[in-house]
Amino acid sequence: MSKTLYTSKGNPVGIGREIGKGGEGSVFEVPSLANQVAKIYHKAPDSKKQAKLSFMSSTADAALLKYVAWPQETLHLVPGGPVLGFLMPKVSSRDPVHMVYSPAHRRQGYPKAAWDFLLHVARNIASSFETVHGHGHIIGDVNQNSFMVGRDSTVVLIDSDSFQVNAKGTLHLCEVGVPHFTPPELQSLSSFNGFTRTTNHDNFGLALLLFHVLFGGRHPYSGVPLRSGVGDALENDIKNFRYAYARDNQARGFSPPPRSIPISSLPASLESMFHQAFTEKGATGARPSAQQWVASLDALRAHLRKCSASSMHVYPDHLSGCPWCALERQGVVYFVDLGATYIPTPSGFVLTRAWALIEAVPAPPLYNIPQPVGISVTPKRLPNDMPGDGTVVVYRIIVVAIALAVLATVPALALFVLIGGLFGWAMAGNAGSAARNVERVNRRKTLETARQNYESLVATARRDAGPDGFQARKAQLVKLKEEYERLPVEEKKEIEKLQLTAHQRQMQSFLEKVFIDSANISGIGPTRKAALTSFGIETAADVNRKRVMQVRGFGEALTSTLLDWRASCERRFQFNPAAAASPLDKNAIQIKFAAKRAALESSLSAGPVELQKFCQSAMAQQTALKPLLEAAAREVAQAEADFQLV
Amino acid sequence: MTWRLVYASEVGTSHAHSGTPCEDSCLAQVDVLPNHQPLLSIFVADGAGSADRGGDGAELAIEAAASFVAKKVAQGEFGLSDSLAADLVSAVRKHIFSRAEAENLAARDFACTFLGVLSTEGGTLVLQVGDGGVVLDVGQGLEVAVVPMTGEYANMTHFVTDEDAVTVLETKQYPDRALKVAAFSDGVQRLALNMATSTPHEPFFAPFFGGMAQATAEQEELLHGLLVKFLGSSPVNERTDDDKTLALAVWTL
Repeated sequence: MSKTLYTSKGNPVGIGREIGKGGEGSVFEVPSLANQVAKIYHKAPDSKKQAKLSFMSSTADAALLKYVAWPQETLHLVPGGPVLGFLMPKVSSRDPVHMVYSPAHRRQGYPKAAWDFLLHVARNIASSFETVHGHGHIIGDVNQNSFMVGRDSTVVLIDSDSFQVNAKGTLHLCEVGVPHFTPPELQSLSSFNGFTRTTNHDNFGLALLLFHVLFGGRHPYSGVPLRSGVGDALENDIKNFRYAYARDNQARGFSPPPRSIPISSLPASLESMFHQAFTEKGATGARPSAQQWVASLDALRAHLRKCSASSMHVYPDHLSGCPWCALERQGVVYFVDLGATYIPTPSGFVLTRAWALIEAVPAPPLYNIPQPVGISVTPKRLPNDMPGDGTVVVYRIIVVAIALAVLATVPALALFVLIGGLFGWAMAGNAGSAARNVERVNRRKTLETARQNYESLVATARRDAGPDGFQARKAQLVKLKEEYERLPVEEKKEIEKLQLTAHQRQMQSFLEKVFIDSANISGIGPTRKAALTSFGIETAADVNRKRVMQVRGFGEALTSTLLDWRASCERRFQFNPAAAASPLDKNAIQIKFAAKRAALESSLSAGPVELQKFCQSAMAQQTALKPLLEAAAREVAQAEADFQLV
Repeated sequence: MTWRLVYASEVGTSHAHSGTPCEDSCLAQVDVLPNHQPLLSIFVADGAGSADRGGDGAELAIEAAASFVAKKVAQGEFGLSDSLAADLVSAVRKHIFSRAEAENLAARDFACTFLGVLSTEGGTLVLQVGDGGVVLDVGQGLEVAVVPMTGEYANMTHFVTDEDAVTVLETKQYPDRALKVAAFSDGVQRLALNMATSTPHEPFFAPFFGGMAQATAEQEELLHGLLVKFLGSSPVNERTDDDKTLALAVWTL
């Protein structure tokens, strides 16, 4: 197409090469204007749409143009004729936002973008909403393809001619929408024809986009179903407020998908903003506004910290540990550290010197622990009414005396005397036995308690105040020293192993570039692909039986289809022996070992101080424990004596 | 100019004794591509004796392969590449897996081997999962396309229903049209190949290819009967008690 159109002011505009084609129109270069392009409709727009475009282009201002590819001039076949299209800012070298928030795509396209970059993108998305809303307009058809992100994290909204535009009181509606970006309260709507959208509807799409950006492209209404009927259709889950990351998600029927970023990685204020946006309250009109999001996200940007393990690990500083390290321990890598180059830096650490300092710290003196033996105590007497062993002896003497007397007087009764005597002997033995048993049990219990108390005090003393504890600390330092000494050998081994694992690693990185969203897999359409994405399955490398079977709707047959697809991708892989162990791979290992070395050096350097501190606290403990130990030993001695008596 | 085809499956004596039907399945056909060139397709599947529905599995495999080829022919151009073979095997698996799911059975209940040959003027593709074999002549005399495949243990083979079927799939591509092709199941393998050297047993093939090439139009109709008779003959049954399938194609002017 090579022709000339005219602006509303009658200026001619030469139309150049077609650079893009959509459903309702095509986008053309304008050779005379480097920063603008022309959108020309396939079919001349109706008079209402013409009025909308005329209004829009007459109100283009700097604030709008910063965030939106907003119409700047209407284009006409003849000056004063009907509107055929419009001029708008050229949006170049940008990617749709999903290429940035998808971990797999980001690893390939934006390998150096860490979470702070994503946070900035999120902030700029909110800012674009704020600008549009500030002008009285509504985006309406919010979706992941309309937000174009640049390498500087700025965001430009495209397809502005579909916005709901308020032309000084006359509303030009947006009559389209994407189901999985439609708020719960509008899910039952059969069509957007004639429907007036509000900022609160837009604010749902905004929260959804922000969630995608901050949580690795996951959809907030997709998770592991906890009951039947949940998770069968995304639209239905949105409609029923099944926000999988909510604190009360159990009641909503979902738990978050495996290997997802926990919602608690955001400060509580932002978490509750998402909750408000995605649950019942938000649907009544209370969703956080774009302005609120901008303020909160900006506030968070001032509260970030970097993990010591990797400069790519950026996270909110309210967290005690690095969430990206925690996810990596689960085998999920959201941010890969490719950029850092290993530069060996002499730390000034000399092992022999550090170790000599450790050896120089003397162990705390052996602690003279008070013993129960040798403490003189007076046993507690038995209660007065309780027959002691002496009483039993007296009774038995009486029994024997009676028996002998009877035998002497009536020898014929010898057998009876024997039986009676034995009975009497036993009876005498039982005198007061019940009461004595109770006393014995009580005294044994007291003794056991006293012994336990004493032994635990002794153990504490040995551990915290004696050489045992000191030696245990030192043994840990010895382990660290040995580990430090092994580092060079292990580093060398690992670099050698690169060669052995080269095939597998090359295959892995090949598979990481085969994206499911652009693959043609029989039986796996856009909906199933979206379900896979929500479970973090984006590339051939992510496909394995266990992970796929977890995704709702993937039975034996579909899972096997996906596994077959991965296997056929693997067949396409060709190993390049020349690139078996790249400098980049070696670099990664060197960085890993440098971090280990630094950690060990700091632990070993801190060793002498740690041991000295232990000694000091040991002496203090010894003083503090002494009266307790003495008292405990005395209690044991007393209880032993008491028990002997009964 | 096209291929002259003859193919048959015969029940093995062990199956005949026990009354079970033949669990081999096969197909040979010539389609005409949009560019008017003929496309030869031969598929052989051997149902596993150990699987309850092995015979059905073999039939499903052939069915799926035929519909895959029909779809490709209707679409027009396609290359005879390794990824086509992977797609074909995936399609076969998908068909068997959905049948298994529909009948509440495991896919392994339909276990079968699967091999095939596709040939056009632009090249020839051989694909194979499991035992059986393909012997062909693409202009350099008879050769075995894929060295006979065995499983992890002797007497074990791979099945197209195995989880790793797409991985163990062996393919071989030739830049030329196949002039002679013989595809056969395990039962014929011992007669057709010198197992020690994995080379074709020439005297076995000579009468078939010779006969097919020289047959007059009237004689061509008799070829099928002769093949069936041969596969059921006692010299063959003395060598194997398994089901036997042999599919032959000869390029004739």
